Formats: sequence, structure tokens, C-alpha cells
Amino acid sequence: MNRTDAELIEAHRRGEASAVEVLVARHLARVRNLLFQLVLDRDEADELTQEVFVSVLRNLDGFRGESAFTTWLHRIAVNTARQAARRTRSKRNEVTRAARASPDEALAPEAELIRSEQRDGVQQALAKLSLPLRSAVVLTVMQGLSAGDAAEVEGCPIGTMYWRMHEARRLLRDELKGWIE
Amino acid sequence: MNEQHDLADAKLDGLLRAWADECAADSFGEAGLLRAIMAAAPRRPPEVRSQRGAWSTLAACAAAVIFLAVSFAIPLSPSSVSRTSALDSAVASQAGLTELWSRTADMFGPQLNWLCDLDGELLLGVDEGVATIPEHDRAFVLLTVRVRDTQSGDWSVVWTGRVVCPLGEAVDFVSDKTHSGGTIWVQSRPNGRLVASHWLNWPEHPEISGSVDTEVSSGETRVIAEQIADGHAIQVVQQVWMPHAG
Repeated sequence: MNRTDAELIEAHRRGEASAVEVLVARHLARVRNLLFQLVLDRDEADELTQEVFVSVLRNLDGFRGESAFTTWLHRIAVNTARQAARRTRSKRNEVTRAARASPDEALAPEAELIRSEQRDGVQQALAKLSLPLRSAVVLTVMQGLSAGDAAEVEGCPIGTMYWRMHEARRLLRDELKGWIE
Repeated sequence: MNEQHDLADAKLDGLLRAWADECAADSFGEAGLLRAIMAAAPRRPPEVRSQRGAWSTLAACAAAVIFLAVSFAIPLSPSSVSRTSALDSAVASQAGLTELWSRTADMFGPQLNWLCDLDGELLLGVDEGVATIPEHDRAFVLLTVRVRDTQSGDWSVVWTGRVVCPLGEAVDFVSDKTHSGGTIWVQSRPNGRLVASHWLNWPEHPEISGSVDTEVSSGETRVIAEQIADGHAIQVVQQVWMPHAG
């Protein structure tokens, strides 16, 4: 039986030891991917994922359910990425490969090479965006949030979120025109 | 034109989603991550982090800076001072804000992240452990709210806000005096122009509350909100600049 997030939180508050582990496992991959999309570094994303969930578990008793648990989780993840960006400002434009172990590129089929170039191109274009702009496009395009929900996560007016989405897309279209046209 | 744009956006979105799918972490390492998270999870009731301590520190810092400001005669924005032209005085206040930032940064060092002077009410953003932000990555913002006298036609300033913030980072501010607040976010564009996004919430003047996004040159002064009714006029004037911009 799949319990909802609210039911798992309630079970945790009643003292059920395993409830919170189920909750974390349910959202782990999504938060891990979100953080990678924001910071563009696999190792850093994993470190921040741990930081996010430890913060969530530390503050879970104070979660009142005024927003959806996923919205709250997204907000903590985005704030954690923002704080990390301040700490490691010099790494902003550094692009690290996201690929897992891959075959020798010299022998890879042409299609795989093209895909690899496209992947790097998109990542470099994302790395050139400021964090607020990158976050806008990550939350709405990749994570599928509505502009309103993304604005709630970011703590900004919806008008600002629309502007950021528009500006991010404009800059990315310019950077990636070779792949779009 | 719109259809072309929509098509380009659809292709771009497809490209971004494909990238996200390709870069999605596989389950390798997930079990280890879960173990690390649960091992670090609190075993006793979570700490209740009181914000009061942090604000007490900030209030003390603000008081110290105000004291210093008086000592060094750095003008904080006076309230309800009549001026004939906010645009002229806004230019004159650039030096004042630059000096306020310089004095405050000398006192707090690289931990000083942002500063808000809301009509004489000073708020500081201090981050421990933050990497130093280069001065050319900062934006200086002057906001002036002025009203026009229906009889004389003269403008008088009713509120001023001065903000120094890192580029690309939103600064939220609240004035207890006027119960107003807002968010400011400034970003530089590759062409050297600045984009300033404001969200103002002023219960006394709802007609100028709301969000505004503008693209300006560094140093440009612009009316960003205006309401005229029955001869009464109220404006919000903005000036944004980067200290080392040309």
C-alpha cells in the first residue's frame, strides 16, 4: 500500500521509525536530478542532496502542510543550491561531464558522438545562465512545475518568474541555435 | 512571428528535456546516499532554530552602523524631506549610497552580502563563510517615491530606498516604519545593460504596488511606476548602476 507524503509525515510524528526513510527514498532521485540541473556537477549535487534531506528531516516536525510537501522540498533544494553557489562562485562556469562510464569516444558511433556534443553544448549553455534564470527553466521545463508553483518555490512574484523564463529561453535559444534550427 | 517563436521554444524545451533525461542519475550510488542521509538524520527532537538570535545580531549591527553613520556624517535618507526634483536628487544620492556601502563594507568585511536603507531604516544581509563578491558584481539601486502637489505642481519625496545587492541575487526587504516591502533583483546582460526586477508592496499606496521589470543602462534614471488621478500624481523613480560600468 503506497502511503501519501502527508501520511508518512504523520506516521513519523507518531514515532514510526521507517516512515521517514520511505519518504526520503521516494523523493531522492528527483531531488538529486534537480540539484544536478541547478549546479551542473554530479559530486556537488550528491553532497547537496544529502544536505537537503538532512535539513528536511531536521525541520520535518515544523512542516505545517500549508504547501505541498514537494513544493517545500523544492524550495529547500533551490535555496541550498543558491547558498552553495555563493560559496563556490568561482566554479560557476566550470562544466563537468555528467556522463557515466562511456565507451571510448574514438570508436563510438557517429550518433553517439553527436549526442555527446549536444549534451555538452546544452550543459555549457545552462552554465552560462545566472542561477535565478537557470532555476526558472529547470523548474518549469525540466521539472514540469507551473510558473505559479515555480514562483512559490523561488519566493518571487509570478511576473518575475515569467520574465526569468522568457529571458532564460531567449539566452538559451541564442546559445543553442545550431541545435534548434 | 509568434508561431516561429513558439516553434523555437518547443524545440528548445525538447532539447532541454532530452538533456535532463540523459543526465538523470542512475540508481548507482542512491543506496549509499540514502544510508548517509539516514545516518545523519536527527535521532532526537529536531532543534528549533530561533531567528531571533540572527535578527538581534542584525539589529545590533544596524544600530552600530547608524551610530557610525552619525559619527562620520554619512547621510541616511531623511524621511519626508521636500525636494523639487527627485531625479536631480537621485543623481546626487549616488555618492551617498556609495559612501554608505564603503563604510559598512569596511566594518563587516566580505561577509556583507547586501544592504538596504529604507528611508533611514538600515537592514544588512550578512553571510558567514560566503566567498568574496567582486565589487563589479554588485548593483546599486536608488528608489524614490514622490508625489506632486496639486496646487503648486511641485514634486516632493515621500520615501526613499537605497539597496546594494549582488548581481543575480534577490534581496527581500521590509520596512517596519511604513509597513512596505518588496524584492529587488538585478542582473547584467551581455550587452552591458542591466535588468532590474522589482516587486513593491506598499499598503498606503496600492496603486504603485506590484511587480515591474525594466532594462536600463547603468546609471539611467527612470520612472518605473506612476499613477495620476484627479490631479494627484505619484511616481516611483529608479536609478540602477554598477560602480565600474562605463
